[in-house]
Amino acid sequence: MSLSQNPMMNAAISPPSNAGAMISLERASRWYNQVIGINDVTCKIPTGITALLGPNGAGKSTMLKLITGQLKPTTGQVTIFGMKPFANPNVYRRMGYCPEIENNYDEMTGRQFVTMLGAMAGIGRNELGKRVNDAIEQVGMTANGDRKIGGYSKGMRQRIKVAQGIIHRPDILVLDEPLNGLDPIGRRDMMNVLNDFASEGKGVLISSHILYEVEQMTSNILLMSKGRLLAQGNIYQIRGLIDKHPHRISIETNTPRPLASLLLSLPFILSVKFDRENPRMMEIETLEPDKFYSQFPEIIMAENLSVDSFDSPDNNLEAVFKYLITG
Amino acid sequence: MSDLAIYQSALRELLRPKRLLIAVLLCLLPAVYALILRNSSDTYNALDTYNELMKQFVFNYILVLLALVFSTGAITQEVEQKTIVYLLTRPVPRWRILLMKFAAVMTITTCTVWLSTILLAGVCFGVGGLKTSYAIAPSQIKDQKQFVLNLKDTPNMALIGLHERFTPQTQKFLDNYSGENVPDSSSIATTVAELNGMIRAGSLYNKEAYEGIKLPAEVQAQVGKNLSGNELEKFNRGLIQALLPDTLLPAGGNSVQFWRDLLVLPVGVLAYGSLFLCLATLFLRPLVGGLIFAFGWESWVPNMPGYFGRFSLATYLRVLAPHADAANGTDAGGILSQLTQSGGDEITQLFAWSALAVIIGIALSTALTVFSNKEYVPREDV
Repeated sequence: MSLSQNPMMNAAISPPSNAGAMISLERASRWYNQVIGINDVTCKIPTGITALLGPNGAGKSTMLKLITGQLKPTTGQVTIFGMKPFANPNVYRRMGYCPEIENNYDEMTGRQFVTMLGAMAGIGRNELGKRVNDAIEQVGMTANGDRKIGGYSKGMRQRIKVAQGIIHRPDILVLDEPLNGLDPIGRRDMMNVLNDFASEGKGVLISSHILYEVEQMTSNILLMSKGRLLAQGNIYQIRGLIDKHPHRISIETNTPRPLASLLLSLPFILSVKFDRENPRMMEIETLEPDKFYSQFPEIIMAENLSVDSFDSPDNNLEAVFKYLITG
Repeated sequence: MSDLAIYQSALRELLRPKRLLIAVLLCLLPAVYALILRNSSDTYNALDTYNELMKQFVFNYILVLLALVFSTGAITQEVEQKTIVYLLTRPVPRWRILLMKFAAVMTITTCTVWLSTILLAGVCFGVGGLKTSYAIAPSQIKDQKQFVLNLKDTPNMALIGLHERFTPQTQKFLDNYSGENVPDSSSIATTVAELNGMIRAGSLYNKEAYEGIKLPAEVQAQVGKNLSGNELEKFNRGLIQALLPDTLLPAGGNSVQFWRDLLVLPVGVLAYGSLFLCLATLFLRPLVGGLIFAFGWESWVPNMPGYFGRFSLATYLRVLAPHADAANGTDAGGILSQLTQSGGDEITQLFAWSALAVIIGIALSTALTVFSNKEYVPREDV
């Protein structure tokens, strides 16, 4: 069953208001010969933070490239502030873009990189130095700004990319997977930067394939799969759908049976399964993952049990889409 | 400010140490080769060596190769590294981005070929060899054998007059010269030094001796005047030039050739650069096509008979900056080139300038248009 045929989905997800839309896609499609990039997408993106969610290959990057004017739609229309974005300097004057690419002129220092792109954005010589300092400080790179980008960690690269995206004080910031490679502190800092940016009445469009990542930043999402826009609206409506299905969590431990016994005593744990091939692995099912994640550390510490790792196969969008599409 | 930033960033990319080192080594080649020839060849002739190396190395290879690598690299490097996305999402029209990058390419390529030419000229002519001087320089002697033979044995009264002014030692050298071997350089240097002494000492004009010898109008106009200093040297050099038109290059010949090359080289860089930039905007991998054009097409087409030569940039550059062939004193590339001359009308300088201007205009405007409308997104990124 396709999503549009899923009555539960249609009932649960309502499109956001069009008021204050910065970006608009009208039946936009983009094909690469026989391969589909995005297909018949219509949506409006308002101010504030909007997350573009979808698994790898869903068409997120194509959609961002259409929005940032790197690609032209095959059919339909894409407009930013009422203008077509392809190679349009008037759009770029009001838009900052943080691409997913790893390469950032590795021979330059972070400061030189941001200065160069700030100057290209038309910032005057007198103001440029201050703007560069502000942007670098905003992303927490003051201490590392004068190091060569070639020596940066992945997280530092992400931050310096954001700095170049905000240096010309755009009205909307578009970021392609900006939380990739960031450590927990880096993620928190990055989220703060984006929240601060959005709080000034500006727009942020951020793509991600990790639901729980963007959930902490915004409730406004666009959900994509296989080139189609599956849903747009409030993330809690999506979560509501997901939570109707048991959430699976894999745990690796050297005390699987005592841990299983303990977990089964908890009311929100539905089942525990052992892995036949790996006796150290077990998988639990719960309808209240939030409760599990908050209580699990305390439980294992109280009972002095050890856990080597735990992960959820459901913490990715493929699982979400499976739920949404199959109903 | 944004244009300057693009230009500076492009310069910075082009001036990466590894790439710059290769360019500098390449541009040193003609000078090093000339140095080896100067010290090892008995038949070394400064002007001929300069002409040959300028034509074969600088114009045919270094200029073309650097224009190819730098022009195509201006785009392909950014595309391959995917950093082009940063440039294309700046509030600057795309054509200006490309134009500024191209300006940086032109700057670096021109400076490199200029450096190559200056070093080559320095080795061939020496530092003083490029001054506009009316004194005779050994490098201005086109045929040293004939030069000595003319001074040795001639029915020409004016030349006999010159012969009589040489020192006995030089007269002995001239009289004993058989014409079989190239005269030794020290004797040539002494002969030239004494001639230059005569040029400075007083008027060499003698009405009877120069009877029947056609003098250039500007020399003729000075006959009978009481000249001194630079005017006297110019007048006397004009007289000697009229006596030895086939063996001596006109005064300032080295200088004229050198400055003409310096003027034409940027035009060549612009022409080849525009063409390669156009290739780079049209194709994903322009280097292979560029190499085929540079060292296949441009090597063969200028030497093809009839009007085919007109389909080559090298043909027009050779018209603007001709380099005399060591063997026959023309800019001929051999029999095929002679056929070219006979098969079509001779290309004038005006035509060559016009043709290059048209080619540059078309190639550059095509490159700018394509770049402004093309999607630069790698397939794997979508």
